[in-house]
Amino acid sequence: MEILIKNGYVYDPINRINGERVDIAIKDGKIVSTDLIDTRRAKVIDAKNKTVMPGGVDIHSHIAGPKVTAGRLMRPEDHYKVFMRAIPGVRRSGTGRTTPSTNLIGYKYARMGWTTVVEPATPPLETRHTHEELDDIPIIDKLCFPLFDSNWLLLDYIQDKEYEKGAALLAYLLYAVKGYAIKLVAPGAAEAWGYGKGVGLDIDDAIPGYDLTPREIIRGLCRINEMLKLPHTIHVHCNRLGFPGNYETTLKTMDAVSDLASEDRPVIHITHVQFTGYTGWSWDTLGTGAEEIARYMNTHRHVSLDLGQIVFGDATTMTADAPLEFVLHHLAPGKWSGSDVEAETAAGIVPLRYRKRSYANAMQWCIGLEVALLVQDAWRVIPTTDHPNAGRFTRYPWLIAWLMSRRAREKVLKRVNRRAASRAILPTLDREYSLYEVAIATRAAPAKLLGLKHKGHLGIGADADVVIYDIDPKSIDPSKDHAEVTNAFRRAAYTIKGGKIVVKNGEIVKHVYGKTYCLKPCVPHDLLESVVEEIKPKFREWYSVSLENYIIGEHEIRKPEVIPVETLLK
Amino acid sequence: MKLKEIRLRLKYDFKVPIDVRCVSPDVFAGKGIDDIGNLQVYEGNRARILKDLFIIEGEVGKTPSETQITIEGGSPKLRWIGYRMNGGKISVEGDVGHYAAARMHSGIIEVQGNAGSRLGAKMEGGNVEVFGNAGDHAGAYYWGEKPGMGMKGGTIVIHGNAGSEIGGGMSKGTILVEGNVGQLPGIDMTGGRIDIEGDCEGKPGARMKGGRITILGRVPMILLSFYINNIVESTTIGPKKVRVEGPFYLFQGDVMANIRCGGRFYVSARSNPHLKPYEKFLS
Repeated sequence: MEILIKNGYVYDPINRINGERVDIAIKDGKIVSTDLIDTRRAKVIDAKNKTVMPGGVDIHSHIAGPKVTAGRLMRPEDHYKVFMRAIPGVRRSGTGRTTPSTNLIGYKYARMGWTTVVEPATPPLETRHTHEELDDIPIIDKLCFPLFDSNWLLLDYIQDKEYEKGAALLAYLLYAVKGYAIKLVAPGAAEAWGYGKGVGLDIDDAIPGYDLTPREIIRGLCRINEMLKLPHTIHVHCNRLGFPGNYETTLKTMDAVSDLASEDRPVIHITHVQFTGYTGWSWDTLGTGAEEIARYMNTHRHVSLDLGQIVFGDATTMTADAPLEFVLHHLAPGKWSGSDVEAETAAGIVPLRYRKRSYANAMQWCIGLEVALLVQDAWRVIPTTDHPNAGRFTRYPWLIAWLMSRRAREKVLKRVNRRAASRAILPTLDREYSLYEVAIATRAAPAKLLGLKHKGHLGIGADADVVIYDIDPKSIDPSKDHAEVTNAFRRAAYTIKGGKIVVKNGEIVKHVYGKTYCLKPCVPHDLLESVVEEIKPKFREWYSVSLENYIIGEHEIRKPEVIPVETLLK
Repeated sequence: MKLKEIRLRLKYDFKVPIDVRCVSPDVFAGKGIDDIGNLQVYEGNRARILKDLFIIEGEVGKTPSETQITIEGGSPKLRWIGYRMNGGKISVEGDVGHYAAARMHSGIIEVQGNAGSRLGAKMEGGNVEVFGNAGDHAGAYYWGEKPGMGMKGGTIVIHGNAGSEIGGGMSKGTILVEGNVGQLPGIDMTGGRIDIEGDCEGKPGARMKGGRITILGRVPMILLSFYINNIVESTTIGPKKVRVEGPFYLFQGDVMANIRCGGRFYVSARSNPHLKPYEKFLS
């Protein structure tokens, strides 16, 4: 199908198009030059007085995997509040708010204009489950990051400083589970948790059972990542997350890999930085560490962030940081679930509710936005809500409005806890994102950080993931009309995914399936053989499955897109 | 006040669950018979109208409180009867299914037969009387909700037996069961009272923070997180607070839910001789 989008104001930061009127031509799921399509046969969309952007890319959103399913089972009360009715031949039904069912995830992302989503934490052993679920999510393209921070096989190599072998093993595991990048969740904490320790494990504390510290794990995996030249950096959930006074640990984590940086490209991605940017020593004295983090970000180029912005209301925290969830369970009595994944990681789930009147929650809300506004480079700060930990992904339109409008922020600040509002620096910040910066932060930058060459822009050859929002940048002033911006981002006028119109006027009109991206790092054959021979006896001893069953075949995934990676290994 | 009566007679034997949450005096009041017949109901996943399923006769009052709905020959497939009902009366000459009287605010519901699960779930007021048995979760919260989100007021009287987890999460109101109950009556309870004239299958009052439970029949075992407080000579049961003679063991708990042990729990000493060892803790 050929589509021509005419007269729209295009925002495409990668190709440096800032609100100019450019026609976008789509043919066979790709963006092509306008003279390649037959204007008589093509479907012409008149985007007059509308904004055209590439499809959104969400770099951190827990949408699939065993913990999401456990969350759904744990929270039936989350599911009878929302119900989307099926329309035969168009869309399927679904329920759920903080833990929506698979179809709803795809639909809700598409309605907002997001077309690529990352599932950022999946235990390698249970990634088969993650892929089964990702296969079930319609419309969006998917990626998943397996957890490697407490993997015994890998920790052995890092402890012995055999990074080449470690890299070969990681490449092998990454392709075996069809993952895309390395995720670290409170490095070492899951391993320590096996001994009943690990609550508040700091970056230089010893990990029981190993002659290692979290710093060495981060450095080791960062080195391995650079050896393998994976498109994304290591994706780090910092130690001591959720403990007041943890901004120092975050800064240490960032600084730990500063010497490994080469070129002008980030080597570490700090995820949901809001949860790791606290000063103070208790929840009552919680303060903002946003200034220190932003100062570091503005002077160093090897770090990228995403926010994990709090959105008031219901949330379900689910993370592989099991000790933290145990602490949270005591803070918020009620349901709790914890689990351990053999020789790999641990996880926990606690439902939470963020309240405006709570000092700590209001402070958390401020910290996220402060980081986003204080860091000057929009290419390295991605607004996310760490769905469903800090809020639902369906709240992105509000998050965008808060970034774009001081007035919108003040409206919320009036209603939050007063002590928090007076101690935060957010009320003093004037910066407002422009539409161009929003396009950078939600589209171009995450695609660039993930190394997805065909996403996040509208240049020739890019995937035809295009969104048209009902915003007229010439007549709307986002700083004043923030409600209109929110509404426009809530329901895209058109979402085109892979050259097919999937959303029209904010309603789903087509049910399609996107691709799942995975990497195939090229490792020398003899190195790989020797590593596999070495891990075989360990695997037999430690795992409940055999190595042959551990490997996920490409045929098990609905639409795999394997990207080969040239590595530095010889 | 004279109630105006409207009668619904089942046209056929229902095979799939039917969502009749529109059968409530609030919805019917002030409408003509034709309008009532055209109300939408779901039979399984199919949208139907009320007159496809019922023969409708009689008249309705101007306000909900002047309206009585009588269903001749109920069916266990009829779900959500009296949902959010606010005044008036529903009388069922037969069985009802799940969620009868859910979220009810006021009024009367009488069921001559048996009721399904979650009878009077999250109800806030009014009276429910069941002459047969009731299913599980009578007067409870919906799945997965927090303690205190169950029944908030009103009374439920069950003349037969009831299932498990009755009064789950209730914070106010009264439940009287004249027969036996299943496991875990009063789980997550924060207030209100549950009175059971028959036996209990076990684990009464688990995680309770407040309120009171009275059991006149036999209880196999008291949870270990309950402390014995006293032996009392008599206590009261039911919405009318009828005095019954004891003696009763008075337990307090659940210490696992709240260290203050706000829940009180009366067990008949005569029906439970195996609880005699507890008496030594009192001296």
